[in-house]
Amino acid sequence: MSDKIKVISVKNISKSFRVPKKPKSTLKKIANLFVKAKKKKQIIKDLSFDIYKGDIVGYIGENGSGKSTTIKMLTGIYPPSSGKITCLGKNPFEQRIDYVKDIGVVFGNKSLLNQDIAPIYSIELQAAIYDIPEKLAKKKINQFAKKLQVEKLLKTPVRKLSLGERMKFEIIASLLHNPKIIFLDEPTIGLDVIARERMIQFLKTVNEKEKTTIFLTTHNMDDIEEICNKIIILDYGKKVYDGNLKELKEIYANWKRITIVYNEKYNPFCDRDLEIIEKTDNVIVFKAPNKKLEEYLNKITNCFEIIDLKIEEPTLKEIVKRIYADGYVPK
Amino acid sequence: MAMYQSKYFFKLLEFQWERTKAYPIRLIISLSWVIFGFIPQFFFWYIIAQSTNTLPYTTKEIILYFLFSMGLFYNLNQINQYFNTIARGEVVTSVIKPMSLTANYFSIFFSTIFINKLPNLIIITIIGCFIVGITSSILAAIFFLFGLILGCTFFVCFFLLMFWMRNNWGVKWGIDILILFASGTWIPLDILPKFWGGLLLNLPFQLMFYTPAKIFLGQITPTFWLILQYVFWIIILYIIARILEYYGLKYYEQLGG
Amino acid sequence: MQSEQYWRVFKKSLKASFLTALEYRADFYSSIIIQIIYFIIQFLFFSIIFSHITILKGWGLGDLLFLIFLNDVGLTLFEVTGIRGMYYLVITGQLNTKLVKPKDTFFLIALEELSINSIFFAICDIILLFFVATYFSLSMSFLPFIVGLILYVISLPLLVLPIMFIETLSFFWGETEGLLGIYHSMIFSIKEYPLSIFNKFFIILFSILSPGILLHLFLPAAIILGKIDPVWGLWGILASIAFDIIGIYLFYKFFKYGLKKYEGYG
Repeated sequence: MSDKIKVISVKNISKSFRVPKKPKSTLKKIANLFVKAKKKKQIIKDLSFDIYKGDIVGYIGENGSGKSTTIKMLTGIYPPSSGKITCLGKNPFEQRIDYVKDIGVVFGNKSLLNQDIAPIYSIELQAAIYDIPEKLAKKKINQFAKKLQVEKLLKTPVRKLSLGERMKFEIIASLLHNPKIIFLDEPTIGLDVIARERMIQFLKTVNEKEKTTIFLTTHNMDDIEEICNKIIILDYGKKVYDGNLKELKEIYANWKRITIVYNEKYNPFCDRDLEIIEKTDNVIVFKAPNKKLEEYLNKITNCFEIIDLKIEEPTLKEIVKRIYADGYVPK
Repeated sequence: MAMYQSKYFFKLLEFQWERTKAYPIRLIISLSWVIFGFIPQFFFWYIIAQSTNTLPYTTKEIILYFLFSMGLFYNLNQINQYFNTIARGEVVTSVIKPMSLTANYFSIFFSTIFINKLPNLIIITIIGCFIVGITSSILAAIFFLFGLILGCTFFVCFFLLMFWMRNNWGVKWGIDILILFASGTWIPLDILPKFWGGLLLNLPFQLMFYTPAKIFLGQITPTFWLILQYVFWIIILYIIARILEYYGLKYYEQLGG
Repeated sequence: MQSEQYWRVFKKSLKASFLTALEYRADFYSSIIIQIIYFIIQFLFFSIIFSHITILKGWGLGDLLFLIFLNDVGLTLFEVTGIRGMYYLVITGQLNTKLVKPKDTFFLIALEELSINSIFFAICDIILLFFVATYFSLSMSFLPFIVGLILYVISLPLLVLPIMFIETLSFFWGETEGLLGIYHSMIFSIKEYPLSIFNKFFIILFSILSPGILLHLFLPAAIILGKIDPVWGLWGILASIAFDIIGIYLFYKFFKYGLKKYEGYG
């Protein structure tokens, strides 16, 4: 997928904000009525990464880890407090108007569309803002709408559309001008399974055809597994992982999930040495280190009258959960 | 039920007070509207009172009249944020409470406006004690509160119309103009031509500002008959509100929420 | 070429804003009707006042109504733009959607979402101006009319620049609703009365707080109606031009600085 042309270069960036703080003394409380007291809060700490043309990057982290802040810096909304960002050879903040001509942005919680009128009018306005000739714009809008199966909804007011339909139009609006990079800030939030799948497939197609770099923040691990070739994990503003999914699993997925369905009667003292992840009526899920897999399987088969058995790799969700809980474990 | 509702009402007052403390700047805005609104009115009516003797007020009286009515004026603007709740479906959070929508929103509107106007009411009552006398001042404050109850009941009726009207900005503005004019805030009702003055004096809006202002000036003495007028209009508006609530919720149901 | 691009964006914005207004037809038509009713009530109010007096510090009924409707036009046209809602865009983070577009941010804030209602209100005001001038047979000479009109147009930025500065303060302070409310209350209370009804202290105070109050809300109408010598209008024009240039330059710098300090709330 990657052509090895660097499109995004982030070097040692940090970002802090001034946030309100509760004053303690009476005098400060009075002063606070007129001028809010503030303190510095560091969101991003010494972050560096590179992204190449055609990459589809999953940018994940817990709530408050700095994902949206990073996207805002990469899209030129504000500069980092320190460090350097270069996107498409430009400084996103200093050369913003020139830079944003080549990017598309979809915010999950802020709409580019006017809620009261049909999306076609908002998208035509977008086309004007990006200097796309009218005829070409109309052709592209119809093309994208057909691909995303929303062509019949072009003239329906946005407020009457479902969330999935709105997100499709948001994506159309952000792709109209053939951006080199698309930033998607939690685009699948609130979407049902089918809508999410359609959107992911569409993004994949765009990436394959146009070699568009996609930078995606999400909490949905299925999105990451389906589409991303590169993952960056943030933990409290620091990068804890930067690589591909395969390597991530090699480092962190050094165990297997063994799920068994068993008969009611079993030897209760048998499973004392086995690590259990989940336990319901007749089902137990064990966590078995790869090195001790045979030993575990032997013990399990000795202790239980097994009806069904399944051995799986840990899910990405479990891996990321472990990283959040334990922190970064270097190779 | 009555115990629950009164507890809820006092809790709301406390809640609105906490909100006001969190955003003290809104009180300052409210005061600035009063100050900057009053200054031109002061000069305007001063010149008029000096230029003519056909007004039924002395210069001092007309200025005090506007100090009272402008200082305590309220309209739909103070409770604007609630008018979208029906259109957005947020009214369901009120429907599930063990009280009528009328009682619920009356409590919300009254507590919002009362806390907002309380500093002005205190200041004007204190000023009045020195200029027009303690009795007139305190009676005017009490009748202003009666007027506030009446006003909020009217606002609830208008709010319930949103089941059909969907937060129409133009009509809300029209109601604000109606209150401004018909309550005697814009111009004292006894300065209007006989027909219009007579008509507006028979409507309930004059009980919101005009009557309390006249009590403040000592030109009206509160009687049992006056209190009865307040009670009469509050009951009528309450009945209208309950009818609107009943049919409004039925209509809302039909739309599927 | 750039101007053509911006003109195209403006046309599309106007179309989208118009369609938005029509989407809520009942709101749109009712607000126009209520505005007309409001004008009628204003007319009646001052008629009642002037049934008790003949003149108000040299201003007759027709003069006063002319002043009110003239002052309304400029402010209403300002309300057409989205500048008035800028602080809300900043504190909710919705400004982000404007910052990721390849056009001047201030242009997008001002003109991407227009208030069509205000356009119609401004048209109503202009029609009423002509009606009042004709109905009351207000005498206007050519030279004072031209001087007053030029002063009126040139001094409008002076009146609205404080609003724009306060809106920009939201980049640093967040909620500037308070300051806006205070300035708004001052302007909207004073615009309905000729400055000459106030005593000298308040005239000077208001003129210092906002030169636009003197140069936009009073002088043009006074010159057009022959209350003041047009020579003062020429001085007013020069002063307005000077204040405008300095004010707009400072605002531009302040806005750019504000964008640098924007923290993308929300």
